[in-house]
Amino acid sequence: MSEFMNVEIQAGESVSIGEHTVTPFAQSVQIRFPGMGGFIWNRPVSVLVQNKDGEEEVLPIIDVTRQALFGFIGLGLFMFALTWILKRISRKT
Amino acid sequence: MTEDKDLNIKNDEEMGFDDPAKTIQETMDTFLSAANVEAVYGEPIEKDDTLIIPSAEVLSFAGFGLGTGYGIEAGSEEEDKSVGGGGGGGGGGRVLSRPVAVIIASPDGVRVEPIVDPTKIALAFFTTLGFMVGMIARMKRGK
Repeated sequence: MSEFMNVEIQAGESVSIGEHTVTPFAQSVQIRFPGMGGFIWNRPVSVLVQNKDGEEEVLPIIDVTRQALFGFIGLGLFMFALTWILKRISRKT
Repeated sequence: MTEDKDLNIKNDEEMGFDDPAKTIQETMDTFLSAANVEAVYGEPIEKDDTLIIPSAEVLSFAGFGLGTGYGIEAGSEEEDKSVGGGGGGGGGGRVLSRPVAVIIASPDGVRVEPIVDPTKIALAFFTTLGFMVGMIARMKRGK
């Protein structure tokens, strides 16, 4: 993408077992600060499952822990915004 | 790097320093090589008819800094007087990893089992709860 930031999805090595061939996919986010350092975030995204019949299915990998954490952060921010709005309304009346 | 013939300042190589930019670039290249799919998916484990592939989220960051300086002797009137110099640098980094899910392939099919961290979720829950109770208490006091 650029020297500063790069986001890409990479496919891992396919593994076959029985009738299934599994190919994992991972997303990598790279942020570089030239001469100062950088940051890399790698996460699993999905798995491609291929059957011998040629059928393909993509199974997403859901990070339940992160979803729960973001849910609580969202709830906290919502409560903060609600309290702030209600306080402003009560001050005006 | 720096060359000033009038003040007889030597460059980094003459003073015995390695090229800092090169060192940083090499370290950075090693660090960025961690951004691959092998870092996320573990070695597949096969047992009987079942194959298990563990997966994890990997977060890594690194920072570097360096500086060099030169100077002439204080109060010196001679411009050709020998000078001193110095340099230093440092860096640090960290890699964080957290299991996310396990891919299980068996004759029945392939499924993805998420790995839930109850400690993290409980901590986030109680923190949010405390925050919300505090907010409600503030609201009531405000009235």
